[in-house]
Amino acid sequence: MARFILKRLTLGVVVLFVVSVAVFGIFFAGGDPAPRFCGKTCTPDRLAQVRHRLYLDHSLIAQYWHYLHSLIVDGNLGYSFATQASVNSIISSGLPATASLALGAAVVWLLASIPIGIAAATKPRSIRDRLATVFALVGLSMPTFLVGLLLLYVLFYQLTVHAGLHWFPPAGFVPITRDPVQWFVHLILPWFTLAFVTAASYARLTRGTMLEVLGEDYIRTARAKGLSERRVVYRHGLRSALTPIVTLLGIDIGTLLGGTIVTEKLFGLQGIGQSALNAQSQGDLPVVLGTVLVGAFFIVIANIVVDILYAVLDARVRLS
Amino acid sequence: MSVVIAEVAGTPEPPGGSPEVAGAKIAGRSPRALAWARLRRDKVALVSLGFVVFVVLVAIFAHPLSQLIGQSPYKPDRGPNGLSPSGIPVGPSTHHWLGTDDQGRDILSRLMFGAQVSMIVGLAATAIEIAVGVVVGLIAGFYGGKVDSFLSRFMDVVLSFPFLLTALAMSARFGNHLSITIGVIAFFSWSQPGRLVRGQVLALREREFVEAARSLGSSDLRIMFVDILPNLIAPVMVYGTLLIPVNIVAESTLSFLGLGVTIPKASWGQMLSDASGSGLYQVAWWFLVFPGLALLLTTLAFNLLGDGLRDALDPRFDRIGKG
Amino acid sequence: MSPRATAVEGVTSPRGAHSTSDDAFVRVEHAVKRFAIHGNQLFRRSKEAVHAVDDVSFTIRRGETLGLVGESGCGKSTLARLVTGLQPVTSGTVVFDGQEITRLSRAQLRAVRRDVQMIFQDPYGSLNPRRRVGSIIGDPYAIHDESRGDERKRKVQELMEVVGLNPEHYNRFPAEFSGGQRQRIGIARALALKPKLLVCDEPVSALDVSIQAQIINLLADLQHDFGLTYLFIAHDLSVVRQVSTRVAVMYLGKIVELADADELYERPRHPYTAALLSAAPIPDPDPARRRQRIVLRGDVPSPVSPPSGCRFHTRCPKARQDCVTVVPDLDAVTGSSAAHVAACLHPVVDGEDLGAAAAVIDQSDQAEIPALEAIEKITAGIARSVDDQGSRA
Repeated sequence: MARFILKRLTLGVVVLFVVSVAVFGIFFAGGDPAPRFCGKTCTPDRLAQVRHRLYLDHSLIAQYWHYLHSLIVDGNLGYSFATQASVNSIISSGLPATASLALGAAVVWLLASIPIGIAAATKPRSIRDRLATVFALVGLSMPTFLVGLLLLYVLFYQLTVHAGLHWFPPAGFVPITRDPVQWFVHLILPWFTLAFVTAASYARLTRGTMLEVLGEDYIRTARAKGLSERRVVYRHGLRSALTPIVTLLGIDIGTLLGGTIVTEKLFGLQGIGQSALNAQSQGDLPVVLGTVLVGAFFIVIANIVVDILYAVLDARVRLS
Repeated sequence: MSVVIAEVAGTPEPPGGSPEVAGAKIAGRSPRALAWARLRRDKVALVSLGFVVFVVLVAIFAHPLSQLIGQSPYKPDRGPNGLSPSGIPVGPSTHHWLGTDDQGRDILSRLMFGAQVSMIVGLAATAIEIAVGVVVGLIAGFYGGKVDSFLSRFMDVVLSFPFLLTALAMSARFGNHLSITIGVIAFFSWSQPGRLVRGQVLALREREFVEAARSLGSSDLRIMFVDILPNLIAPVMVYGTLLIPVNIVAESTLSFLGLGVTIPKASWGQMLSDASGSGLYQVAWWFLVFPGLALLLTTLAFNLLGDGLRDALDPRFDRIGKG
Repeated sequence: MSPRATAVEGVTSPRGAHSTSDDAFVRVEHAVKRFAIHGNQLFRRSKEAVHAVDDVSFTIRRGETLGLVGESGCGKSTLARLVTGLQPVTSGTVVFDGQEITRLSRAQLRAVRRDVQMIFQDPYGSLNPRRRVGSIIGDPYAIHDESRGDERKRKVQELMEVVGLNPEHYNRFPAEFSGGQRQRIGIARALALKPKLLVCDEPVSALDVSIQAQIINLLADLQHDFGLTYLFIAHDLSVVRQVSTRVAVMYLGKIVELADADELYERPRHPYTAALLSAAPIPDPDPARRRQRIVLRGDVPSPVSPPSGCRFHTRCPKARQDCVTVVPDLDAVTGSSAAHVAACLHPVVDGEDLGAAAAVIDQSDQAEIPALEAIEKITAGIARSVDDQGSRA
């Protein structure tokens, strides 16, 4: 078991290493980045200064080594072209919003999708099954930003402006430390937006897995033994169905921590995604690349956790 | 002992003919014919197929069609039919059937050209993903061992890149071109069909007909493409059809963020971005609804078609409802 | 054309039809095939291995049919693959038509493949379900770059006729054919390049008994018409007797007996062969009642750790002390012809009743499965304690 964990961790390190090489490559691909950093008021002297500061007067290998060194040892992701602020500070200031958004959305979609999936699977072909399937299909076919726009239009605009019901606030993020209630209120719509599409796919997955599981022989045995239907479905059926869901959840959260850009933009939340977006429009490469590294980091961590969890749950995986 | 076999031998099979029952000949049907028949019975899938064909046709004939209705996707209509005196878009009218956008441009023709972008990106990206995924999956699955390890790790690495953030980075570095958009989208998703194909090939290579091919002296390359590949067509076709909507959504998301197609070219995602960014969707519902519907219905159609294909190609008789 | 099967005469025997020369067409010498067992993935170099084929030597004469019988797992399929070169030998040599094929490169082996072909057991699995029959049969031509287009089609259709298929079904898929017809397709494919040796790996085992006769007749006709040599593998003894010139019997990776077909069946010398034959069903009740039934103890031992000395000693009704330590060679047996060999230190003597024989050595501990043993110990212990309590009560 320990051997497996070690193997898995090494793999994760290798992956991150390759990602860092790719990021490094993007930074340098297609030309000299120094002029950009130098800015609008660039003199040859200043340019030379910038080059020196950026370590560009060394060989490519030395540069990479320096980059890797500052990354691993100092945890330094570089400095913004535009504001000269450290990328670390930019990202960490965006982390609360992104984390609140991602984790909250995960809670929402789990609470929604699993019951829907179970309800559909326990009465196949019924009205509720058909409704659930339609919901799943529509949800899968919509991009997140469209969901957000529709929600904003209906729940914010129509309600607030036309009906005068100020239930939902306009854009903005309120840190939980400042005002928990407002934090919550401001996040409701973003949570639902982000959760909608994923809820649809999880509902589908739950339904499919539950259908398979409920068709297994041991479920038939449980029923034949006289156990209540509720017990059969929840105690026995759900347990096996949960494994693929849990593993998928881990991966999705990992991906989500790097991908809440759209929702942040729509609702004006100052998270990592928003910072990346702003940086991109200014051509501020270090910030964007920094977010890529952080995003990849979360994804790799999530994958490792999921794999280990899976190995704990299923001994066959460990020994293969 | 010889007597035993002969007496039980009974009526020999008719040399090479299908069993003939009371004079009527039972014609066997190829797997393709059977699948097609099943698909034809699936009404939902047929409707979806029809819609898909419709969208593709609109995409191909966007230019002549928009000329037909006398509109242009790029020319803003600054007159009273295009924008109200206060600069707000005009709703659906006899002049502009679906209304105008924030610049007074005709939405219907912009939708048609948006279909073009969605189809081009959707189909091109899918084609690349399938091509690369199949080749990598074939090689990884067939050879196994170190080759498989390496390629699988490679696919893992590809999956570790956060999609949107990396797209942002590429755009920040290289700017926005259609080919870059297609490339980025394809890069992120090719490993999915790759994994699928690899799994299928791992199972297929143990089948006896592969061993038979080897005993005939067939080369590895030949076995992969002549023997194994035909068995992959069905799952790949289904997966491909389901990948197209994913790619269309990806493109629209990139456009929404300002990364995809550049102004003034029309793309559904970009139209929605204009609607949201200007805040005009609040007063001009058509600006939000029509591009949104176009996206939703197109993706829905592909998804339903993919499901239908899957049911047609691999029927499981006790499948309860569409999953 | 050889006469087809009739109700009285049964299957036409191809025996001895063309075996005029005695030179060995195929010569296998000390062939060994070892499969390593990967117990735990972390310890890649495993000490355990299965010797699927363990030091096997025999020859196949030109034009004859050599039958190969044995229980499942005895190694006959593996041996077949060694002869065709589908699996590389661990050690030993295989010489085909004067050429040693065991050390050939892949490219060189390809040329040999034209002469050695295989017919597989599963008519459903051995044909690619997604390819048309014409394409499947024409595969050898495509692979070896012979005949194209119309000429290839013509040749394929000729082959289809030869094996008894309707050439108009050229464009159909395997799913549209019955099991027997699919086996014919497999045979047609094997014949395309006019091979000299055909290795048939249980070609009729998966077919209905009524169909089996037809396929066997077909194989007999083909052998006569095309001068083929067969290595015929099966586990059904009656089938093997019909088609074979000589028969070899395998047990746990070794050949234990080899003789002309009739002689093997009428006067087997190895106790294992005798036991096998005694278990083969005979529909006629009188001779069935009269014959001796030899019941072997226990199960076939694990091929991972085969018994010492003569591998059969754990189940042999005639086992003696030397059987445990000495590995017998395939030698001629007194009382049988010179060509009849058996690997036995105490072969069956004429008139001996093996059913009444008793082994001299203790075979009890060898045949038990360790798990079974453990369970028996536990239940014996429980039984004992219950007895104790019972006596105290």
